[in-house]
Amino acid sequence: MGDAIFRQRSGVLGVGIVSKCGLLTPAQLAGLGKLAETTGCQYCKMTTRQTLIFLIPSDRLEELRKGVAALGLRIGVFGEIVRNVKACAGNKDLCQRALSDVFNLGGELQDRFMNRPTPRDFKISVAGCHRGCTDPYCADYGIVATGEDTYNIYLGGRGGSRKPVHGTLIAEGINGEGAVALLESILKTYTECAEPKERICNTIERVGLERFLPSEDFLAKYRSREESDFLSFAGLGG
Amino acid sequence: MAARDVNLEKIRAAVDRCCKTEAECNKCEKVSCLIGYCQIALDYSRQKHSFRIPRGNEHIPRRDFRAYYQPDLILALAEVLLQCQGCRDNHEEECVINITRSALELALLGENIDYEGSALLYLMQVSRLNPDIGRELLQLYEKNKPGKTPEA
Repeated sequence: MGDAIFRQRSGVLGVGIVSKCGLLTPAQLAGLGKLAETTGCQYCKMTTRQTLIFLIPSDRLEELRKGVAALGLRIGVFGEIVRNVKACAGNKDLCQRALSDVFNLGGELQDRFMNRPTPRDFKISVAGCHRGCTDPYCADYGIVATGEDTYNIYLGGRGGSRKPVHGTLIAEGINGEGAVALLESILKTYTECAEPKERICNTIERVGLERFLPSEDFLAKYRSREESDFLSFAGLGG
Repeated sequence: MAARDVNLEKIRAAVDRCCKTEAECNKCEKVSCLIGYCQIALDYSRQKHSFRIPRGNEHIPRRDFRAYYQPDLILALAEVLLQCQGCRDNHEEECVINITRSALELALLGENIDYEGSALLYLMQVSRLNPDIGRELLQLYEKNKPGKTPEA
């Protein structure tokens, strides 16, 4: 594990920069532009995981580190850890279809879990609707909004692989707080059950999904009120 | 889900025309009436600014066997199909348009058809099930499609 800083074949350093689920303020964007120029960045690349790679001479790393921190951004992380959180354009400004604001939840998950050691890399993906533009069905922990602060959780997917795996639905209609609490519990079980360097989909295959499934009592604590909202509206109880 | 061009007011107006009113039913119990249920779902969607009706498809009153006026049902169903966003693989059962379609379809055909997220595929299915209704529905759909002069 460590920072996402790689010496490339061409000799330059590739440095991953992370924002909150790919969101940048105008000041951060302008600041990054300035930083790219002052640190001798050859060019930048927006990555599939919503980070930004700067290609810089190795002697400019510290300058870049300071500049990135000053902009309220972070150097990315790499290795057997929880990676930065990927989220779709899921809020009222960016998407017509978003059912919930994914940036609040994505940001909270990233602040709380990013860089936490895990047996193998662990990727989280949040999507604002069931279309899943961020491939939550192929994430280690995929979150799909089904309503305002209401989510379905998929576990054990694997993307970016010759052998892609779809995650399994393990919780329906829970709120953001529940998505965070469930992830905490999943990571604990994963750490206890996994063999060294074992991706969670393989751990699930070996020890069974049951070990990871939340109890009904657990889910009941976090069941979103929206799930019964229409029934109350219609006078059908709930 | 949400969509750019859905006009729920237009669907509501078409559904309202199907209502048998208290004059015929004596008492209005919307949750046990297919038309009333559509009205509730549409009102919820408008009020909540959400096209998803949580668990809305579970409670469609499937035991409402009243006979509604068929031409009004066909008009309403055609309007619903015109508003369908054609989500195909991303079709969702809890979509307000789907729930309304499903309830109107029960009132009109007496049974439900699997909806595959496409109005045109659906029209073909209805035509196979009931050629007369299918033909009328298709004619209305084609006539009122965007770009055509809408029916008065």
